[in-house]
Amino acid sequence: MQRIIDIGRKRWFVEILPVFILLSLFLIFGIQTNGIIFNRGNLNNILEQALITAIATIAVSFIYTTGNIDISIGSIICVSCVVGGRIFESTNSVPLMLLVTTISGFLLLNINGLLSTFLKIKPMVVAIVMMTVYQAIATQVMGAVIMNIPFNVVNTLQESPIRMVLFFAYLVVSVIVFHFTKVGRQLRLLGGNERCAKTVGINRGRLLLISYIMAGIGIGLSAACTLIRTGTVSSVSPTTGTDVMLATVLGGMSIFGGHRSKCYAGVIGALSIVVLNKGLLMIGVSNEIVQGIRGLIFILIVYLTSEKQKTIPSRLDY
Amino acid sequence: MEQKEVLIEVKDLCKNFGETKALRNVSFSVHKGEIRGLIGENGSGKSTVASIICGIQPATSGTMYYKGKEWTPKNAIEAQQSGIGMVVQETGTIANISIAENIFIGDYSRFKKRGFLSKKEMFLQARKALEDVGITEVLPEMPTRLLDFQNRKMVEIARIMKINPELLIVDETTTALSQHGREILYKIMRAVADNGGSVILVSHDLSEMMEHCSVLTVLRDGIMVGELEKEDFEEQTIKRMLVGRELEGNYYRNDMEPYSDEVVLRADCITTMEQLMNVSLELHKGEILGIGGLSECGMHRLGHALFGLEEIIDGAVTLVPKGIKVTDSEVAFDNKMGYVSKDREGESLERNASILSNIISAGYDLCRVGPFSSARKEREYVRKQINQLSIKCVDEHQIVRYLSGGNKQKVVFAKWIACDVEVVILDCPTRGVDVGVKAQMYHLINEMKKKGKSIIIISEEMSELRGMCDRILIMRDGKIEREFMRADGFDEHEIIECMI
Repeated sequence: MQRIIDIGRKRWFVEILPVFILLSLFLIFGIQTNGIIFNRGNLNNILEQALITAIATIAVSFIYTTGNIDISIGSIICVSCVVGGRIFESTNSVPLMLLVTTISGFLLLNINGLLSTFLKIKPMVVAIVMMTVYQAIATQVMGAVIMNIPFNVVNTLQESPIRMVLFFAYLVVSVIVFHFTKVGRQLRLLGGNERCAKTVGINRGRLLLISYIMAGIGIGLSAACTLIRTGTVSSVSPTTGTDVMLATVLGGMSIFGGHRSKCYAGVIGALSIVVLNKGLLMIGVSNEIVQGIRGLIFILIVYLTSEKQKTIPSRLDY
Repeated sequence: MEQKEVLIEVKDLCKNFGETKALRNVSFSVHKGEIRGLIGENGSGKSTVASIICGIQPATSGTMYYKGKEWTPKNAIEAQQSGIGMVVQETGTIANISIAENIFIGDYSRFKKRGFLSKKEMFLQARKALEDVGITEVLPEMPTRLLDFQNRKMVEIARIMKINPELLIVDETTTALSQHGREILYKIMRAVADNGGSVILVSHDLSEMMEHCSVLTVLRDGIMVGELEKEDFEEQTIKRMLVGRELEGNYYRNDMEPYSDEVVLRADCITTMEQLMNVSLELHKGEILGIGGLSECGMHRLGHALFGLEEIIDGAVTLVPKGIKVTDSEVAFDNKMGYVSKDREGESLERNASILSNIISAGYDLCRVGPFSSARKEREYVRKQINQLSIKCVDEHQIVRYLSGGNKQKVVFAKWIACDVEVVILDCPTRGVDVGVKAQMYHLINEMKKKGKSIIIISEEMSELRGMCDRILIMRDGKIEREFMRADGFDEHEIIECMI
């Protein structure tokens, strides 16, 4: 037993665990579906979905690192798509649609950040409240209608490499900011020990602002990619909000932030979670049960990878 | 001498942390009525032995016998129920609950009245418990976070004494206490021993150990190097056993080097919400300024306030050469000030991060190439400090949590030495640090002085202040009581009289 614990402490172990999980998932579902999951169509599908999740996961890693959690990502993406769709309806301009979608995502996440800073409420609490607010906005604007973006527009966009370009550009910028600048180290220190961070002159407010700006860009891009992928706009939130959490832990980063945070964790994690979702659906598990299984995996991985957390927040935390 | 009954026996105890062997075949037995001292340098395994006995961590191999039966505690609670109580080195209280709740933690059911918790009864009992350990100045209703480190320790001691331990383990606690607190603790230890229990005292303060222990077990690098009876206590012998070589007696500075007249930091009548009243001081270039007093006197709070970590409601702290007011810690840090807190784990370290991340945290700007951080520069920057302070570790990526207390303190020290600060505030810089490292730290402090840096040492150890400082300010009840100069010779009696 001690040996297993010792291995768990090794640095390389944490680095290869996510790859191991991803390969095992592929293997399991490869066998279960008799290899159908490796079809060109399916792989493509997985890759496209993973792209969206990966951008969003990289984005939230900036927030998680500081020890905060935002679960309103799904509804932010939903509202952004709704706004983008409406803009397209009235202007018929594709670039404008994508731009407005991205900016909406950016702004909405930063509204969360600002509310949290000015009202001095934990970002988690703000996110829970804002999630329902955004959902209400989406329903109010869209109603029960599903709006389709014309097929030729969507098809052109899907065939252009724009999503790949956006993804890699964002990944590279994020990795540089996160791992090769002062800001990245400071974010991790802030997530690890706020009082200690204070003694080395770290301005908490300014750093949180930076983290929300970096995250906001990612969420905006992720919303634009969602729009391109689905080609439809409705008031139903995608499951991205919980997907990013799962992708984060599957990628080997703690959602409680701190020293071990890394922003590229989400890339492998996103692939894993998409393979998991897709694989389970392919072998005939119903959507509701998939949610349940995801929940179990989530709690298991959090338990295995994190230190003991406070179970109930004390009133002084708010 | 008649052979007394053995209370606890430890046989061939080994403990590995990964590749590090913290303990190698340690064996000893503690008799009833004995105060056993475990002495050794940092990382010699003293705390590890203590924590294994009281169930905080399991041993890798070896056996223990408690009251004649084999002893394999699963956790600290089991140990407590069996009468083993331990006062730990770091904070062992919960900050956000009241003192009374801390004292009776895990035992609330005894205050149940018709299904409800009777707080009144609990506070009453808590007050009694506190009085038993000689604290009268705090209210049990107060949230524990309002207490300073020393009083939190005393609350912990009160809690442990509530269970009437047969075996009391005191791990490196006295260095966090003032003279008054120490006296209380020693009295408690003696009482436990006189009532047929035993005490294990873990420390590296030699004089304290020689005075209070009846038997000493000496550890070095996880190996037991000797056991001494009271009549064989001899300072030089023990020192030689501790470090494995001869040590020179005096490690303080003995020069009378003056300092310049230029004022670098000035506090103008500062008053804070708690404790500090109208405190003024001036720190000069190249000066080592000592601040001493009883732990209640507000000197730790003063350290906080000078670094901008405390809200100042009246008066101001100014960096004189630049004319900048220190309003918060960001300003202080940006203007080359450094601060080593007494609360090591809470304020000075990120315990889950590596040594590298911790040391680098004050020196990002020194390890950059353009806007980017350079891994090579960072590694060199940190390795230099690891070598200079001989921090015992596997490599610079080791997580700080797994280091011993003294090595943790070295990491904190390294953080500020490396980033080349102009003014540094050291609050109990040598808390929990052994003789060899102390000498090194004092040497470094002296080097800094010679380079024209200004240093404030806040300390409860009189010898440290007298040995190192150019000037000592003694505080009492949140005010500065008197100033002593090095040139006049620091008269110990006069200083102590001034403190009380």
